[in-house]
Amino acid sequence: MTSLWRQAFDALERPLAAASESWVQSKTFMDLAVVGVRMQRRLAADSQRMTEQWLHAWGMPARGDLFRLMNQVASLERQVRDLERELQTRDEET
Amino acid sequence: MPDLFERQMLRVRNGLAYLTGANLPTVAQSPRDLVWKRDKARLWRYRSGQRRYRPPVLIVHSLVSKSYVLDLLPNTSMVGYLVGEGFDVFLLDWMPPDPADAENTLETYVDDYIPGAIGALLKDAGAREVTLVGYCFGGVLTLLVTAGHPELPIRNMMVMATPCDYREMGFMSNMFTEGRLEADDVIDETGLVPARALDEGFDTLKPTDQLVQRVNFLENLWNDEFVEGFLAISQWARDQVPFPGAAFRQTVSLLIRRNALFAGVIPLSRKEVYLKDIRCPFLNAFAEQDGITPAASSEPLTGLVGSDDASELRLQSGHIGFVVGRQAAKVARPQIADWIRRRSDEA
Repeated sequence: MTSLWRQAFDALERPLAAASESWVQSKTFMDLAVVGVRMQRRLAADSQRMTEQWLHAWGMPARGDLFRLMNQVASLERQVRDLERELQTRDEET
Repeated sequence: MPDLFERQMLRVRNGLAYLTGANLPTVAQSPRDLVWKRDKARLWRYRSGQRRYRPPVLIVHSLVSKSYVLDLLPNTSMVGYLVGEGFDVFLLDWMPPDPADAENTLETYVDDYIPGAIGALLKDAGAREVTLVGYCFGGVLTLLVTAGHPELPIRNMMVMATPCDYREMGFMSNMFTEGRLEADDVIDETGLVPARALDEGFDTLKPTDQLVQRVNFLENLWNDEFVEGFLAISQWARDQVPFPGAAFRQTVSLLIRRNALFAGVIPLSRKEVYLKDIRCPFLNAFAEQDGITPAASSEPLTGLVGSDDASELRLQSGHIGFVVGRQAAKVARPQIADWIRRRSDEA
């Protein structure tokens, strides 16, 4: 048997869930969410740029430098993968 | 059911264990061997002393979550069930991508990893054919493989909770329709869609779900079996993986904006892929209460493939109802096993 507190919780939660789930699927919510995501991204980029300038002024590496380095390593890894594939194909052919 | 006092004592015990992290379940316990790997792709073969059916079954997992949901706990393991039923089960799993995988496109999976894994499977199992099973986005990949590679010996194919009509996908897909977000708005500096973005998306779909889950947990805290299952599922649900940026750009442009799967024609870089070219026996399994891949999105697939033997399996459950829960144990797993068995040979 369902306890009283659970019945009370469900009675409150169910209409709230239904309303919030249909609000999430509404055009208005999605348009607002798009604005929110873009604003968040712009603010993050601005603050990152400012931090980067400040850190560079002190000759220190910033987050962006680490990502550039990571992406260079990733690009090298991709080249190694391509070479590996080429060698495999040659092996299979011979 | 234990009496009230006993339940309170069990709640205290399990609550303390939860707070100290002492009762975290061990997931993915089915014994298996790594038979092939390429970059982040891993092909596992599950050990079994009773392989009774051929061809082997290859499960292709989704790119957005971790595969241990298919082998969550010994009593709720999809993989364990299929192994126990006498199938030779392989799993194609994807390690979480890193920046080196950011440029992986859909073609990387469809033309390289999956055909490579099928080749390795045939060699390892000494088989001539395979039954292909795709879960969630893994289903999209298996559809593209089967339609685009008629040379591969795919005897049967099945998709579970696989999206097709992206207009029906709701919030997650509608956020990327024309005029809203661009794929690059969510791709980070490493070229990947961070796992956090996927998490936030799933949380937004059901705003009160986190609270309800916590209340369910408190209510059933006395029940050891519930606690174990709950913790395992919660662990998986919070364990999202990043998505390769290049594949995500294609997902937005082809699957969401052009709704290419629903149109039945998917223009990949090598050639156009037609779903009607899927001619092998086909099962489309989807769940009526699936909030992530709604049934309305999966449903059209059955009519889009060219197979004479195309059928559907509707479950009264949610997205993971195929693999865990009462519906999985009583309906999904037995019916899926039966469908495969009837299209397999005795070894």
